[in-house]
Amino acid sequence: MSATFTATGFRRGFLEGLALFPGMVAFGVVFGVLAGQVGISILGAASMSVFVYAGTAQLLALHAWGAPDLLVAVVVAVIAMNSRYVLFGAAMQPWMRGLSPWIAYPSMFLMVDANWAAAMQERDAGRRDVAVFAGLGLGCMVGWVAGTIAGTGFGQLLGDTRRLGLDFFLPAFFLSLACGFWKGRGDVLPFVVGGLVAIVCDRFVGGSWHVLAGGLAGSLAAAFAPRSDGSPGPDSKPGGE
Amino acid sequence: MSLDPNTTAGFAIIVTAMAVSAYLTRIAGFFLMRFVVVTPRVEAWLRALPLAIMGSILGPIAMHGGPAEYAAFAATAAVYFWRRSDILAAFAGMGVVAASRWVFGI
Repeated sequence: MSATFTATGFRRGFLEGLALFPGMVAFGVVFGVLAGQVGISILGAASMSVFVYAGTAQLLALHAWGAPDLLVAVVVAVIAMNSRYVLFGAAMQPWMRGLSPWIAYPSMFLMVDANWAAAMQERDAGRRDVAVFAGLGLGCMVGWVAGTIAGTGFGQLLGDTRRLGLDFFLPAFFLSLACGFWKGRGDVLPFVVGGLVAIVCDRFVGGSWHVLAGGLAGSLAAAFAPRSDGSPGPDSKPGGE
Repeated sequence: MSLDPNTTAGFAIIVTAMAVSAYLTRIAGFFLMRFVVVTPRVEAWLRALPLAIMGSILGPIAMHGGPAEYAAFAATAAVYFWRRSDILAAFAGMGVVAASRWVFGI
């Protein structure tokens, strides 16, 4: 059976995405406030949220705002933060097999953490309606863009955002994601090696390169480390949780 | 190369560059999976990548942080494992860092 793309599925996904509205708005507000602080207009912030549609990458790009090599810095920020999407996409490919590229490639534009996780659950339940994934991605975008507009528009009313801890939202969000990815003792090595290499790189190189350097060093260390728990089992396909 | 993000043209170039790179990361793995032979080593590398990236983002932040940030990291992890919600946990961490900064007067 090949993958399908139905109107019913799209509607179901879209409604599920709207259900995530509070969280998406909150995240959007955080981005909007910080974007307003570096002088980005409401229209500018909203267009970034629609076309880039990558909260963590956009927040990291704001950290680079005002750097002399801004264009390079934002592209590195996006690639570094979104590199997990390369892996997500790899896991999606077998599930979406049989779908026309004219539907598959536009659908991939809407991929975020939430609908990727949902797609993997659909896969495990034996369902292959890709419209659920695309609809959910679009549903999440509604709250994300609404939050961005509200944050950019009313951000000035909040005053000093450091006092409110807004600068800590991104680190805290990543720690939560890390907790979610944490499966066992084997995860210590990539996490710690990545962290240490990043600290050294951050100290001596600067920019956003430490994310790329640490990410590669940590993951390669894990790939080439001798396995203490035997060979990977049949349940350890990439993306197979 | 210097680019002024405060001009409409400069901003448009930056958003376009970000949008194109973001889309490329979304389709790269999807596209390349048709050609890659997933050996156990490639598989181990792919699986370790997300946590290595999280570690490399958090490492330098932890180095620059103080008591407020450490307390907030602990609260974030606690709330995550309690409610299994990443957005809720992130907001809890944000609340703790704001409260600690106020208490310690940092």
